[in-house]
Amino acid sequence: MSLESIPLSYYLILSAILFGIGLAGVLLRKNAVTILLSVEIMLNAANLNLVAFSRYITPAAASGQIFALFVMAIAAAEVAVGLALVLTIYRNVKSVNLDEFNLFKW
Amino acid sequence: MVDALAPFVTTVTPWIGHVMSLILLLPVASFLILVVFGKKMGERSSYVAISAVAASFLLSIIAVLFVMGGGRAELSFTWLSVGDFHPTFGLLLDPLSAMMLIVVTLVSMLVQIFSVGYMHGDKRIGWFFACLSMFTASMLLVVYSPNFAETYIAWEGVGVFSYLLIGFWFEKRSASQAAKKAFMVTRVGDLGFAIGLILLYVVAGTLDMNKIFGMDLQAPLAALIAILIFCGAVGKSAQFPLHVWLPDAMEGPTPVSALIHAATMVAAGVYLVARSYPLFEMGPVSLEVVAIIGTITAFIAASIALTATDIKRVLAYSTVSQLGYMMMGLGVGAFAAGMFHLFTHAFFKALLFLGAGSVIHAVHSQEIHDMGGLGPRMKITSLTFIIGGLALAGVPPFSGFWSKDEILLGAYTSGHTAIFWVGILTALLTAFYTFRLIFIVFFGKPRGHHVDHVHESPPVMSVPLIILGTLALVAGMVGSPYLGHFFQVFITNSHEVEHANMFVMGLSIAVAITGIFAAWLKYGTRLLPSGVISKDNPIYKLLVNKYYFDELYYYVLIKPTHAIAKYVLSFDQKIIDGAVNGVAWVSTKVGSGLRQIQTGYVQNYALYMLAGLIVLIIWSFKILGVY
Amino acid sequence: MEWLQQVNWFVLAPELIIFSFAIIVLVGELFLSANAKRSLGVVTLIGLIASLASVAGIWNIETTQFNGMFSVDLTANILKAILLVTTSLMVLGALKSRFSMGEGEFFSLILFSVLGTMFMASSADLIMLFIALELTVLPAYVLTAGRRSARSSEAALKYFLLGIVASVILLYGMTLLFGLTGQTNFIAIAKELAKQKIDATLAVAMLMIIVGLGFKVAAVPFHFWAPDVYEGSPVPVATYLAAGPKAGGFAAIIHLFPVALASVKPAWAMVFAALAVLSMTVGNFVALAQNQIRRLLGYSAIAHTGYLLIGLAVADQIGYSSMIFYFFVYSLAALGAFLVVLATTERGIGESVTDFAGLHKRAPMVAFAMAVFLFSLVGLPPLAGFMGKLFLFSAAVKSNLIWLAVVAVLNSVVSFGYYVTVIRQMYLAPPVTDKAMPVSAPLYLSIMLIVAAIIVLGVYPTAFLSIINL
Repeated sequence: MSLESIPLSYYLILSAILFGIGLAGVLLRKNAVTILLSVEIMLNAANLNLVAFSRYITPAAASGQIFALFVMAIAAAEVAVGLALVLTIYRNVKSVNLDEFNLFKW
Repeated sequence: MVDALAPFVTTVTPWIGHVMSLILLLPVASFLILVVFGKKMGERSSYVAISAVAASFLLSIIAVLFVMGGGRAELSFTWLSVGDFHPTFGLLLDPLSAMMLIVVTLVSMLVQIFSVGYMHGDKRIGWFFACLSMFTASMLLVVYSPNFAETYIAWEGVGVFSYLLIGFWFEKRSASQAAKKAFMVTRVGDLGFAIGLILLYVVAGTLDMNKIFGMDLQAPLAALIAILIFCGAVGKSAQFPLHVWLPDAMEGPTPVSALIHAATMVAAGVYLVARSYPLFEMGPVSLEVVAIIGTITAFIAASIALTATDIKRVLAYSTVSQLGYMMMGLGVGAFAAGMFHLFTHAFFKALLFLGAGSVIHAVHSQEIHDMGGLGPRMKITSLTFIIGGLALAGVPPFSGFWSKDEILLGAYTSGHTAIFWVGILTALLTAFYTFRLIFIVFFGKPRGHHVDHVHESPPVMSVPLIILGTLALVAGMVGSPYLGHFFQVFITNSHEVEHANMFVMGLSIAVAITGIFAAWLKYGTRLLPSGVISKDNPIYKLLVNKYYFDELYYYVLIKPTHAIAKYVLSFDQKIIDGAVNGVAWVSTKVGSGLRQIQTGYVQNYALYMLAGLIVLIIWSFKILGVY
Repeated sequence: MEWLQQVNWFVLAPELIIFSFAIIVLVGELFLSANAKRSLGVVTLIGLIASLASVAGIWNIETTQFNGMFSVDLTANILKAILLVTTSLMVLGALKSRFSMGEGEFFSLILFSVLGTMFMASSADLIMLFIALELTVLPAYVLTAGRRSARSSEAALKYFLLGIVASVILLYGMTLLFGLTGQTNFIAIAKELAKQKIDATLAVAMLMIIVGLGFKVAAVPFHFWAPDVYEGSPVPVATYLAAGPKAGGFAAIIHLFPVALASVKPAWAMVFAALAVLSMTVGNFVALAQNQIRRLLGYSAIAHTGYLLIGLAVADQIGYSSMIFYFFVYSLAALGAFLVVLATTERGIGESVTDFAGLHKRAPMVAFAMAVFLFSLVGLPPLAGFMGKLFLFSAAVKSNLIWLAVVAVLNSVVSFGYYVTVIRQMYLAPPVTDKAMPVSAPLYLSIMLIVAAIIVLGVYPTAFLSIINL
């Protein structure tokens, strides 16, 4: 069974499911690191979209795949910044639980 | 129609454009510098202000020479464009404005030099010079303005800065009261002015003078608008019945009185009428109004001046009276004569005020009965003051004679006989009160405590007096028959000038001499018994109380206004304030409620964002009609 | 290396200058002595001004580079210039400030963020836009966390988490748009979309992109980060964020929506109108209930995003131009207000509104400047804010969005309520102490320059409008 025999919509549905899982993680989990990981899942959902579209819609051009590569690079940068921020807040508050970060409101 | 005011010729030669803008911008720059650094610079502020205005004066001379060579220039640029509304902002250089440029910058320069001595040691001197600079700039803008909207803005600027200058010594209660009075009274006139401009805009669809003067408005309508505009002039030029603010404005520093209340601001009203002359000519009734108001003002003010005992107030009333003459001149159709009188008056009245300032500086009092016998002790001051007095009284060959004579001639030849005779009578009064002042202040025996220590003012004060004295002596020549009525020709751009009338000239010389002689009899000698004018005389009482105008206004206007204001205030407090507070209360409550969505929990925010996204998606489906 | 010659490096000069200076400043942080590092602020300022000069050099050039990824046009240039001017003024004001991080770190992060914003303003391609956006916000997250305090790091973490969620949603929207058209270039996308029927996916993609960019410009309901970040970040950082970076968001919207998404214009115009109303109302009303000056200014910023979005709701050239003018006017005033807060906090004055009590006795010119900024934000003549609102609201009226203009005017009236509280404190409340409050010379200069600009733009807006060819 070749790759082409799987219809595009399967990829898109998978991507949507991944996006949803990531989003649920962002909304429901309390640990800042877990949320970072959830965001990574969402980013990968987007990447999956990009490569799938690239393969099915513009097989001749590589722009989608290039886009995906850039996204990966940016994701790495984001994680680096994110973990650094988690680390600083852990130093200051001694917690990574989002419910305990409540200095600013109203 | 006066030729000079025929639709402006728009020729802009680049260099003259720069000169024109620099004349205006130098004082503005001086203002900006002094606002920021004035405090630090202290006394040195005067260097900035004086060098700016001196440069403006030199450039004005260039501008005048350019105009004498037949040049006219208009700079204009669109200020902004919102839809169909394209207000423009411009500078106009023609004989009328060129003449005023010279007057304003010259007097302003001399006054500022004089102020260096007069204001020496004042701790807010930087602010004083900043205000003088900006006042000068506003006045220049009034002079330059080719459209009424711009005139109005500049006009209000003049008002604001004169308010600040009159109330400069705001610690003195009377000074801040006087500033307030000046501001409020002129506001009454400006209200009429503003209504006139709105009406003009509705009728003509533009406030550009050039376009308006080219139109053919119906006479009654034009007269109505002109009279409304004249209301503004009545306020600023202290004409009857709004003349009451000017004498009180003498609370300001004396150089300010010389600048504002002699040469420039009060002349702005006259200038406005002159500038809008074609509009007045479209509705000739309005000119009659101008003439009558001017005549009444001239007479009333001169008669009040007979009994005033404060040196600056005497001069203030004489200013009001002379402004009345100018209006009279414009009203009877002697356009050039009115402007000529503005020109000469600016110099001799600034001279008289600065002379008074010099005297006050020496004697530390404004009461003429504290002075006396100052002549030998203050030679320059007294000599120049007497020159100014002769000019004011209208004695040939001093400048005031030529211009006043022209006005009276205008009234005589245009058939305004009553106005002519009142003018002659006023000339008599003028000569009398002027020399009453001179004989009391400079001759006779010294009175008061300070007189023994009196000495001449420093050169920085006396030099401007000498310059102005020279001008008061010779400035009239430019409009005299000997120089072929050069001034009138320049202003009106036509060679049809009134020829001298020996009857009018002789009469005005006669009344001037008579007035001076009477004053000499009464105050210079002891020939007349001091009881010849009884203080119980009802006329004397009427004059001392300034025709009870202040009292009249107090009971007719101020008291009822206060009563109404009180009533409105209580209404305001109960109803309006209640409503406003209610709205504010509700808004704050709404705000307090809305702020609750910022819970502090970051995941709530993410959820709100998502909810927002979903709602917007559904909504845009509806807009686009998909699903 | 043929492609190297095909690129017109000249039109990239502004970005290249900023990039080189960012590296120089960063390297300087590594190798310079503590004393010499003080001069890094001046180096940054020179870089910003040099970049501004090069923007002026390419002012009227219209071109695209890198196969249409990078577009140079007047809108981009104007917004870059605004960004550079405001950032220069901010750097000038902060020259003598104490940073809780190294000078080099601070200034190079600012420069990288500026670089990202400039690329955003010039991006004509989805890939470019996404990378530029990330380059803008990543340094901003780090800057926000600059102070070693619970508040600073909490603000940064919240900003970061919301920011990446918004970025991911934006990215997902972009992938959908790419899937619909097979293109990443805005113009190519527009061509493809013109051939297609409008379907739901397009609407979803469009809205997801709006979330990402709406987050950037702090439009309600994507605004939650703004008050926290404005309040919690170090003051110089808040000052930077208040003024410049939104330029990138608005530039991206102006480049992306009218071009690539022209076929669904009615939808996005209405969505922006709705966001405008929401932002104005929430921002102004919640600001009424604030008593912390930076938080108040944060909500005021949200409200002003609302006013600015009117220009996008109008969705024509007049609307965009008015928006750009108002953006300039607004960012000057907001920047000025934050610089005043910087001046007061540097002298140990608190950040509560009541801490401004009697400021005019202690620092008359600074209090006057603050009053000018706040009155300009309200939109009182003759200040620039009035002209900005006049243009913006009249653009709304012209395109039959009278209801929107009415809402905006009512909102301006409401906004008077909270700005005037600050002014009342400064002028009517008695000061705690009569001691004069000194202000460092560069900060004072920066504040006064802004005051002058606001007055000049208010009195004679044509000076600016003619430069931007409005």
